[in-house]
Amino acid sequence: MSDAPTAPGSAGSLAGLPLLRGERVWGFWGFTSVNVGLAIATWAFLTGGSVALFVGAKAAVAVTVVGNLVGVVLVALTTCVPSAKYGVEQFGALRSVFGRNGVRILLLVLMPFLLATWNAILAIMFGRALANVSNAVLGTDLREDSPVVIGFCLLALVACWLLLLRGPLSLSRVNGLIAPALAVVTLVMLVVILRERGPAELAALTPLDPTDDPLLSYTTALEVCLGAGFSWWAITGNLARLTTTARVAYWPNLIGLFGASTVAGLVGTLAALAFGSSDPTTWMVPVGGVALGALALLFIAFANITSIMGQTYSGALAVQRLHGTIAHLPWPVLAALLLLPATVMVFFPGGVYELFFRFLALVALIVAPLCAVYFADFYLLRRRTLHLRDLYTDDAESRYGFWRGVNPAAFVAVAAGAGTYLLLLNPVTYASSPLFPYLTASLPAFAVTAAAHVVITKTIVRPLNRGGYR
Amino acid sequence: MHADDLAELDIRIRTIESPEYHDPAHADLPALDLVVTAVTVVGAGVLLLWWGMS
Repeated sequence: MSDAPTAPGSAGSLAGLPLLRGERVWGFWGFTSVNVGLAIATWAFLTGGSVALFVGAKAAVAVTVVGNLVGVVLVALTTCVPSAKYGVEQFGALRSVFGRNGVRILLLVLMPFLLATWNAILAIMFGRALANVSNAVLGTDLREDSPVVIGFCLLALVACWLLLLRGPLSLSRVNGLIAPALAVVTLVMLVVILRERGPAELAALTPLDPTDDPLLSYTTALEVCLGAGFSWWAITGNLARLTTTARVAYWPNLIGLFGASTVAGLVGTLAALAFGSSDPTTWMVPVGGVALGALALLFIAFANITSIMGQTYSGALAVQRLHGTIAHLPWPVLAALLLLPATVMVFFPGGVYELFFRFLALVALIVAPLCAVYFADFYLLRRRTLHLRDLYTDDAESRYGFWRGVNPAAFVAVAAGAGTYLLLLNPVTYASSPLFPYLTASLPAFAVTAAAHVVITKTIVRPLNRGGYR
Repeated sequence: MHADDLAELDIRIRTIESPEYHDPAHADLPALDLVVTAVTVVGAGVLLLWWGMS
C-alpha cells in the first residue's frame, strides 16, 4: 500500500485494501516523528494562543495537559488501534459502525468541512510565517492579508501537492527532517521565554480576553484543548494502519500528538500572554530575536506543509470510498481536487484565521460524538473484534450491511451527543448553559453518544439481527 | 471495485486469514497498556484540574 498513491491510475483501487505485514512501513520512531511533526507544526501554537484568551499561565498548564491528554487518548484508542490491527483505513473500519452508505454520508458532510478549513488555516499560517520572516529579515512591511501573503498560502498548497505525488513515504522522510528540528526550536523558544520573563512574571500575566466568571473561563479553555485533542480523529487512523504493532500504533500518539502538542501549546500560551497576541506568527521574532525567530518561523512554515500533506493523504484514502470513479482518479488529480477548497479559502486569510477557536468548538461538536460512537462500538459492543472480509463484501452478504448500508442507530447516537453539546455550549457564540462550567461540552457529548449507541444497539439493532453484534 | 482490485482484495484477505500468516499488528493492545492509560488519565486529570483552579 505504501506505494499505492504513487502509482497513477492505481492509487485509489489499492489504497483501501487491507495491508500485509511487509507493507507496514512505520516503526515506533517513524510514527512518533510523523506525530511530532503533525503536532508541533500547526494548530498547537494556535490552540495555545486561544487558551491565553481565557486563562493565565498556571491554569493554562492544567487545561492544556488534561484537555489534550483526554482527547488524544480517546482518539488514539478509537481510531489508531482498530486501523492498525486490521491494516484498514479508518473510514473502511467505520463501516462496522455506520454501514457502507452511512460512511459515505459521513464523508460527504465531514470531509469538505474538515479538510478545507484545516488546510486553509495551515496554509495561511505558512503565509503569515513567511511574511513575518520577510518583515524581520528583509525589512518589508507585508500585512497579514496582503496579496503576497495569499501568494505564499498558494505556494504552500502547490508544494504540498508536489510532495504528495511522491506518496506517504515522502511524508515520513520530510517529517524525519523537520520533526526533530521543530522539537528543538520549540524547546529553545520555551527556554527563551522563561529566561526573559521568569516563572513568577509569567504566572502573574492576565489572560487576554477572559469572561466575568473565572470558572467559566477555565472550563472554556479546557474545552478548547479538548477540541484540539479530538480534532485528530479524522487523520490518525489512516496513518496508524501503516504501523507494525498495536503499541506502535498507540503510544507514539501520546509522545507526538499529546506531548509535543502540549509543549508547543504551552509555548504558544506563554508567548501570547507575554506579547498580547494569540497569533504565533507575530510573537516568534519578538521572542527569539531576528535570527532565531525567523528560523523558527521557517520551520513552522515548512512543518505546516507536512501537516497539510498528512491530512490530505488521509483524506484521500477516505474520499476514495465515496464512489468508484473517485477511487480510480489519477492520484495527482485527486490530490489537487482535495486541495482545491483550501485554495479558495486562503483568499480570505483574516476571516479564516481569526475564527480558529470557534472552529475548534465546531470540530468538537462533530468529532466528540463520532469518536464516542466508534469507541462504544469497537470496545463495548464488538469487544475489539472486526471481521475483515465483511468490511469489503456487498451489503447483502456482509454482517455490516445494516439497513441498505446504513446504521440509523449510530446516527441517532451521534445526534444525541451533538444535541447534548449544543445544550451546553454554542460553538459559534460561546454562550453556555449553567452546567457547562462544571461538565465541559465535549465530555458529556461523548458519554451520551456512547451510552445511546450501546442502548439502541442492544435493544433494537441486535434483536433484529443486524450489524453482526453478538 | 474493478475485477483486478477484487482479485487483489481476495488474495490479501485469504493471506491474512491463512493459519500460517502471522502479523504482530493483529495482536490487541495489551490490557496493561489500557489500565496504565486509564489510571494516568483519571489520576493526572483530577489532580491537575484541581491544581490549576487553586
